[in-house]
Amino acid sequence: MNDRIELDIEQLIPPESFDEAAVAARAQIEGSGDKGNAKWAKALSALGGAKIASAISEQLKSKDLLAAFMEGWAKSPAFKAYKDQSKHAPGKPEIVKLGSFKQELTYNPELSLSAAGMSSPPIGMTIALKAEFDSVEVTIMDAHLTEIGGGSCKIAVDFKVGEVKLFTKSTPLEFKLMDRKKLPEPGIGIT
Amino acid sequence: MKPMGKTLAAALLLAAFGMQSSGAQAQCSPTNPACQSPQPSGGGGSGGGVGVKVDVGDAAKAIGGLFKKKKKKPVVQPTEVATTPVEQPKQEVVFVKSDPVIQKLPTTVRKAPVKTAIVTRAKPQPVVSKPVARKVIAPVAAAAVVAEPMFEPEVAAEPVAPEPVPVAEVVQPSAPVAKTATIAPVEDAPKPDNSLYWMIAAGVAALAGAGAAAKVLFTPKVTMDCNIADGSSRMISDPSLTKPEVSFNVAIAGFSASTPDNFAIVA
Repeated sequence: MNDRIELDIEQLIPPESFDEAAVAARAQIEGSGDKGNAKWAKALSALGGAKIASAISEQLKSKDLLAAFMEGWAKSPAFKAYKDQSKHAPGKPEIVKLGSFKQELTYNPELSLSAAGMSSPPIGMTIALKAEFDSVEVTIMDAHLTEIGGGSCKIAVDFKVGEVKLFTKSTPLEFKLMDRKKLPEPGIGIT
Repeated sequence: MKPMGKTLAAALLLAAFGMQSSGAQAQCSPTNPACQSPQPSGGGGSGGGVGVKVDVGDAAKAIGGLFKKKKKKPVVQPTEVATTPVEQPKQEVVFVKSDPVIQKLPTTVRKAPVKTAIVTRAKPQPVVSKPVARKVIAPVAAAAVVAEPMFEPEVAAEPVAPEPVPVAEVVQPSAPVAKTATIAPVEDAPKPDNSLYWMIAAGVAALAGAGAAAKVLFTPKVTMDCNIADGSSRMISDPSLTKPEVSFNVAIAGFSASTPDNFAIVA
């Protein structure tokens, strides 16, 4: 059980799935009909799934996944009332507790290879994170989500390359949000 | 053993005739043709007949038995019969003919076994000689078959080497075909026109020899191999090239969070 939500994709997706991703990506390039891409397809196989996993994982680490989920929350009608400054005084933080809910976060990385000044055609991938949140506390101030803490969440994943599903099931990773985490100023605005 | 056996058989035959003659003499009469004296021309020194009556069946059996025993010998050891002069059937025939008792036998009885003996003796001789001839001829024939291919290349290799014309033929099935087959990524590169290919090869072969032609044949394949920037080890084999760095990039094309279901503020 983790108390942080810095997600390592290799914790969610089995390593062998990235090898399958390399094969699927190669097939995608070869199926493009462009014979000039054959060398890229071969290079993909040479690099293997480990490289793909590493590249995706680095991208996910650089992204604040929790903040990405919270952007979805900011669109919810339940928060629209906090835009009314007559009811919610400016500069005064308010903490609300959320119930249990499900949410999906879709991440579309594009893989590409480059060598000797040339680049391969992009290979579309899809990583869908399926999260279940429970009893999460959120701080709202000036119509912005500024802080999160408490509660827990479970995250599972779907993994696709193009239209090929490589991995659809996973034992969800569970995170305990014990520490309060402050989002960068001014936070996520409620829309 | 063999001459002794024949002599013993002849002696027994004579003894059999002698035993019969003692009892048969009284039955002989001038009207009986069997008792008539045979013609004296067969001649031994005894001259006139003994006047014995011989049972034709017994005599034939005895003579037949004599020659039956002789038949077995050439079958079992034909080479010995052929090489031993003592066993020649002619000697037996002479012995039988010269015997005065046999001379008195009817002509048909006397001649039949003798002729048979001559024939049977005469036949094995050429038969025995055949295997001997085979032993000599067979290895000679086999050696001739083996010797043909051994001498052919030596004779054929001499005129091919010095002539300049077959040089292109020597180059044609050589290494380039096999080497291009091992280069996997050739599929990207344009395939050369075969006719132009061989024309160039033949031209270079005529000018500078087969070695230069082989170099021309190799050159396009090497170039094509070097153009493949796939990071494989084959590219490093060409010292004029450095292995390209292949980077693997991930760009964010889309990142979207759905609106949560059952989203509610409970407190």
